[in-house]
Amino acid sequence: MNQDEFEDLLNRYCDGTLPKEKIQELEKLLLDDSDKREFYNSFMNLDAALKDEAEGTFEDDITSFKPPRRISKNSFWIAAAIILSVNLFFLYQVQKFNHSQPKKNEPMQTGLAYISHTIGIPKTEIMLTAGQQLENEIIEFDEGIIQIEMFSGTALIVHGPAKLEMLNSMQINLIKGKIRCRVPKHAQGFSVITQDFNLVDLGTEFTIISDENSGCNIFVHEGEVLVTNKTTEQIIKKVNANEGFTWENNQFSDFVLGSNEINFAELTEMNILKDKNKFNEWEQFTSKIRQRKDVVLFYSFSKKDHHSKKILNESLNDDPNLNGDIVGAKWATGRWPQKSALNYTTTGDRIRLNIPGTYEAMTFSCWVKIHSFDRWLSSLILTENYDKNELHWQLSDTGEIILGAHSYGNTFSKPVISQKDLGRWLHLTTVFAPRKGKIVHYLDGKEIHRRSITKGSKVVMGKSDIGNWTSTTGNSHALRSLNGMIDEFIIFSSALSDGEVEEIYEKGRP
Amino acid sequence: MDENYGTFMKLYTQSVPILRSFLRKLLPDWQDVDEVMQNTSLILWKKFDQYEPGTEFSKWACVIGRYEVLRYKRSKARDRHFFGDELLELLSEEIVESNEKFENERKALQVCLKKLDEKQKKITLSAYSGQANIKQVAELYGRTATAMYKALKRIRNNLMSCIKKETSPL
Repeated sequence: MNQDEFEDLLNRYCDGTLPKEKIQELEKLLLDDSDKREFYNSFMNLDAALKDEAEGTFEDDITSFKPPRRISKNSFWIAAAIILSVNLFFLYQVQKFNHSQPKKNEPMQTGLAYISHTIGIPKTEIMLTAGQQLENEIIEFDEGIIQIEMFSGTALIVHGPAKLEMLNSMQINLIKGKIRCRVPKHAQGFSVITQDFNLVDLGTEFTIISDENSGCNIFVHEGEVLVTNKTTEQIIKKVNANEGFTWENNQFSDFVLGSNEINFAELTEMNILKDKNKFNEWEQFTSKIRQRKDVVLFYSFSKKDHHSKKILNESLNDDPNLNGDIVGAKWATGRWPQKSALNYTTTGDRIRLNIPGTYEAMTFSCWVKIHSFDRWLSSLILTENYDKNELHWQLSDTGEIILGAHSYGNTFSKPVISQKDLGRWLHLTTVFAPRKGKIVHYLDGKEIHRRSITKGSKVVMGKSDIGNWTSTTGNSHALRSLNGMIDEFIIFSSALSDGEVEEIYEKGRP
Repeated sequence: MDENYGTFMKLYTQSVPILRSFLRKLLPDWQDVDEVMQNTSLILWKKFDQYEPGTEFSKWACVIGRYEVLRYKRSKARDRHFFGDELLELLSEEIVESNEKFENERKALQVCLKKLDEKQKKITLSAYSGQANIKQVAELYGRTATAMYKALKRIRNNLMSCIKKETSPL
């Protein structure tokens, strides 16, 4: 019995023209084959839907309903059907499809600086991470050091506790805190506004310490700084190299900076040390991940792979299909100098691999940096075409994380990757766990979307692309190439817990 | 009694498409479905105080619907073409777990119906409306009943493919 013959039976069954022996034959087919039952389910859904559609236009008009004390044969049912036709046709909750659609607005440049390094910033300060773009906004934090590069070229070292307002790429408002500014030639005129006056840098380096209540200290390391009246812009004072002053109680007095101040060279040293430590921590942690029995695929994008066109799978599974072929993408520096990543820049770039096996659940985890969203969909990992039981994992151009699965359609998160997040390393995780009744999306270790699902289903991946898509069926949105970098990719055959996802993020944050 | 009615009507009307579709999968024709739908609706109202608020009403309704199908089957003459109890039980279990699929497919159908041309729409809706039967529709179009069945089969096939495409992952 082939599919055509089976569908013929179903059509005749729905038409009421199937004789008894044939119905018995149909019954046997359904009993023996769950795939046929699934098709039957969809086919009869269609039959019922068409019936509802056809009957939905009533001419009768009942405007009020009384509790059915005595039900006449059809009235109760008709009453309900009329509500259906008068209100909406389908009243059940269906998730509105108001997600991103394939139209784009031109993105505007609203950034004026970005955070180049952080040291000792507590993990609760999620908005202060290296690579983060800064816009016209107020930055406030209690401890740690942030290095900011303004788009004008000025570099700032900001010590917490601090509060400052980014006004534009040539001006900031220091409300409190300690900042060391280095102003290159082309950014001369960069100014810091304080409570009491403006400081205008005429080229090079100075430190300003401002206390919300008492006053401020200024010290010029190199070059010169003008102190001007906030309103009149009149020059009050000129400060030269190795000179400083304190402004307190409305008067100036001399000020010399202590010798244990961190300058830019020292900060660079500190960053190098920090990178080394973080890289080691990550290496130790991932050596444990590799030993897990539920890791199907582990690509670490390690430096030693640099000249290879193949990326080797580092999980316990030694199936050679899991080693990927690199097409087009070029090796570059990853989260730390000691580590590599693959840079995807042209539309053909991809890692091509084949994931064998059937799984009860799956978790995808990757570290990725997006340069830009060039089109509606950017692939993280997509199976060839989209057959039953396969999963698709990708991003939309409004920064939504999307998991596609046959039985459940597409599960979108809210838009979470914004303009500000382009150019910084992101940790993305999606858990697909039908037996546990959930699909969960995570960004940087935190849950951002959870969907409850029913019914178990299996996962089969097969031939897949990381960062691109191979489609042989002429789908209209076939170009899904990623424009960015990938620095780590793990596939688990289990559903990771919230805690496990958070740990992967913590141990891997740059 | 009366305040409950409002709550009941809301829950009930939301579940009607699923309940009706559920019964359709267990019963041989629409007349059977309508009759069992009647009986089930009555019982749902009568037993509404047994429904646990917060749980899925449609699932509860289908459980009751299933009993009504079995009762109905026993009450009818032996030579009616019902599925056996084993298949009925298997289908009931599987259908009740596929609500997401049901919703997705219904939504997709709206999109797919728009793709039918006027004639196809007329044939489909006529074939499915309450009182008509295929012979009458055939006469309307000056065709034989066989030709109508063929056309309907093609239309169903188109819709199935379209729905599958619409509900496939990106």
